[in-house]
Amino acid sequence: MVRRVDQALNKLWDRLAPLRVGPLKQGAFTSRLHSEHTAAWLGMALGISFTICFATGVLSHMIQQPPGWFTWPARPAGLYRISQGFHVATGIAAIPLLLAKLWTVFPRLFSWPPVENVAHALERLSLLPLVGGSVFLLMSGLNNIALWYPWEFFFPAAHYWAAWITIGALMVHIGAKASITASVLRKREPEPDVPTEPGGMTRRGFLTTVAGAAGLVTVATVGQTIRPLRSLSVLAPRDPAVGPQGFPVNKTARSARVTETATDASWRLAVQGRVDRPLSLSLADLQAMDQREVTLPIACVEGWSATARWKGVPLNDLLRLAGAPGEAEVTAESLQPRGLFRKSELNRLHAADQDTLVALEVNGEPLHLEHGFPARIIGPNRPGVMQTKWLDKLVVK
Amino acid sequence: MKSNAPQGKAFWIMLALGWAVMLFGVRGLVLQAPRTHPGNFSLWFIGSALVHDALIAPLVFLVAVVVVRVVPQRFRRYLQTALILSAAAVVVAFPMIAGPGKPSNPSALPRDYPAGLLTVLAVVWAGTGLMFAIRLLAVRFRHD
Repeated sequence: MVRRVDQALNKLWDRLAPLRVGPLKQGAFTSRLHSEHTAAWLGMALGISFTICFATGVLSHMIQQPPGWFTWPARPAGLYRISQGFHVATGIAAIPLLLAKLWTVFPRLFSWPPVENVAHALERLSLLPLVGGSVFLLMSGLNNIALWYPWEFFFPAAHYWAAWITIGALMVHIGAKASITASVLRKREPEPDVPTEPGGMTRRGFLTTVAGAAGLVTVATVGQTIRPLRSLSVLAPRDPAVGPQGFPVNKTARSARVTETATDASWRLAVQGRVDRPLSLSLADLQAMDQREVTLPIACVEGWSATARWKGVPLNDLLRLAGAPGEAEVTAESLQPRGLFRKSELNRLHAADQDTLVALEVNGEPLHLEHGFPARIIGPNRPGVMQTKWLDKLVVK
Repeated sequence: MKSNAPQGKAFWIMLALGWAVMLFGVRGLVLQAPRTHPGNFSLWFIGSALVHDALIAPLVFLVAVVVVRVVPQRFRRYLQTALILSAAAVVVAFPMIAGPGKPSNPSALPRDYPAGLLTVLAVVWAGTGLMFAIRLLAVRFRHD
């Protein structure tokens, strides 16, 4: 059956041969850089980059919406900063790699015959989600850190599911190309590396330049999380030293609609839920308790991070005071009236960690309203969106 | 003629696994339709491939033709290097410059991005220009 389909296909392409004009013509693309060798090297680099992005992305998703079997640890304190920093930096570095790869294999879009057999048809069909998904993921991720949303969907959900579609398409692609890639990379000197046109680029020159482009865009942006590079990163969407009290803000008090409730003198922090003695504490009450000072990063999902010196009441002390059971899990709720990130979960490891604070001060001053005045959660190894600001209540589960 | 078709058992296994993973993604997308807006999502997803293949790629090939036809041989490699590096910088800077930014939050997008891009481009073109000058000098000394 399959063979008969293949034969019919071949006959069809023979009959359609007069259609081979323009880019469909044999030899339409002359550059030697469109070679298997270039494609193999770029493919390897992209395969590694996309794997890093996928793994760190799924991890970040699981931390924020944990499945039952998954408990994200509170240590090491800077792990999320590193994994999410890698997610964004790798995605940015992959932009020139992807464009170079698409350029290299562009002639194959017009390869003849377009479809040789069933396997070839399925492989080429899988290229649509691969190319569409790859471009979509890098473009939407870059737009997200530039806070530009020209579409209707909610970015995190669309980016997440697009990643599964793309990684599936990438698996098909690896299945189709693994053996050719391996054989090309294994050859020492596969074909002479001479430029197509006199004075033009060699293959090595092209690959070096593309690597240089990846390095260039990395240096131009990575200072948003690697502080010593901040003055070089002229295209970084954040500067870890710019913002109230010396570091950036993601959600402003105004956009969260807490300007009045957070500055109201009658503000109280409630500790309730599965506790023996529900608490209602004023700012003065909290200030009168034993304070702890810790140095912890605030690490945003969008790939920037900044370290600050935080001071406040250990969450653990409040839980003990309220008579919460051991290994308690806590929901921290904000004054923010609505929005997906108005509350966050503290699993038993985060709730029990001695460095998880109800912070009242940062860098030696009372919290700025933009940083969550009068009190916020700050804990080790948590995404920034889970460091709930403008605390209203802590509900023990 | 050399066949472009994939073959072997490994391909079929990866095809099955890959399509299963893709279907998982599509299922999640559909189940969360109120957030993912599958119609609008598809437009952007397929549009991404189309915009690249029908717009960006032809434009790049057009530039390449100009470079090969018009630019003298000895400049060519340096110009190609500068163009590739510049294109990468322009793409990354594009949403910071063309997007609306976030004026209500002064710590978001705090820099002057057009100036930042010009700085990067200046460094790229000065760097490749320097490499070209060094090469010219080296050639001259070799002839002397």
